[in-house]
Amino acid sequence: MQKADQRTQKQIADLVRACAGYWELRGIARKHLTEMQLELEQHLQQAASDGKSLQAVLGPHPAAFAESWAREMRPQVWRGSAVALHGVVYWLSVVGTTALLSQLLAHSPAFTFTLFAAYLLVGSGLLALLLQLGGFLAPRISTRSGREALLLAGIVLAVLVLRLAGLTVSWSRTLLSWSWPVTIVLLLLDAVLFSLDSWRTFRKARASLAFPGFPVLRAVTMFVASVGVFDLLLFAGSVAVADFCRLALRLM
Amino acid sequence: MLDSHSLAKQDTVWYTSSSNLYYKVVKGGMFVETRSTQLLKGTLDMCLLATMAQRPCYGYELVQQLAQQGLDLVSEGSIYPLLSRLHHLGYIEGYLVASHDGPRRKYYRLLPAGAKQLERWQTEWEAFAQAVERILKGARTDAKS
Repeated sequence: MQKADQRTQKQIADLVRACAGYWELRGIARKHLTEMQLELEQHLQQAASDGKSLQAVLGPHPAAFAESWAREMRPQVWRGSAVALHGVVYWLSVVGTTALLSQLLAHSPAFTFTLFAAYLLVGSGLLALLLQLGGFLAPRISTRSGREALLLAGIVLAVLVLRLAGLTVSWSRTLLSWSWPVTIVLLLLDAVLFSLDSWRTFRKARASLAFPGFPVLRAVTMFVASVGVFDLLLFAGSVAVADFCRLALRLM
Repeated sequence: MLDSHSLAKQDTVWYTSSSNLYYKVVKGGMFVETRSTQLLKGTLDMCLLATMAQRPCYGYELVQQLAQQGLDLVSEGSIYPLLSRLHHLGYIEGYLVASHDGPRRKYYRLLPAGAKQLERWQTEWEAFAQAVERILKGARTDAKS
């Protein structure tokens, strides 16, 4: 089988990734998802090497194709809730550790959850979702960095437009405030949910032939490391965004 | 009058809320179903079962087999949701086969329940096609006389 050119290869990889991301969000079980991904990729590769366009395989709306296949796979509802649980555990970890660190480092009796922190948390979640579905939303921009640049430009533009429209937001407004015992309770709750999530993943991995082994220690280390990195990025990001906003306001 | 040959290249596969296949033609931004796409809509599952009855096939192979018989699917990927449906109905099964030039490939084969269903659908189709043929023959005879 003759291989398609590099550009087409990139488009194929991108479309398959976008479809897989969509199916994961729709709650398709990992084992089926891997097979669907494999089948789609092989079909697209063969079609491309036969001189057919990708549109000839997926139609003009790849998202409609992904949805129609997902619907026929009868995704289980609890799979969707598993994704939600994973998200809750992650965000609870970030909020809990940020609160704990700020209370320990600043020696403050209470942690204040500001509008800005909420914006960063919701914004980063939305960004992750949009980047995952980027293959459908911006098929012409085939690289991840290109999509990130597009999203960033969109956010900056939206902020400028809102600012020009006269909208002022009090970013430092306190949404929630809690003392350190609440932080400890939050972290304990997070630990319980994390254990539940890990137990479910472990059970599923054991039942599935696709994943004969599930390295628990590695999974925990990866999770803790990713939360730590996110905390750092959140801190660096908040400083950078605050500086950028201050500069933009000065320029306007 | 729509030229079915030239429009066939612009066909689009669409899906209704009940997951039934809809083949439509894009013409000046409007969606119009051709007769052949309507017919295909109702018979593609039967054609897929009939193709698999000859020998197990993988997805792309199925599309090629259909094309060789004159059924060009303009949106080839539309067979996959249908294959999943047939699988859930217990008519076919998929299995992975090791490939010498790449990753494993998923093949589909007909199950006994699928073979029985194919027989039922064939009988239905033949009765339907004969009825239509009789009506068309009658119309042709009337036109001549």
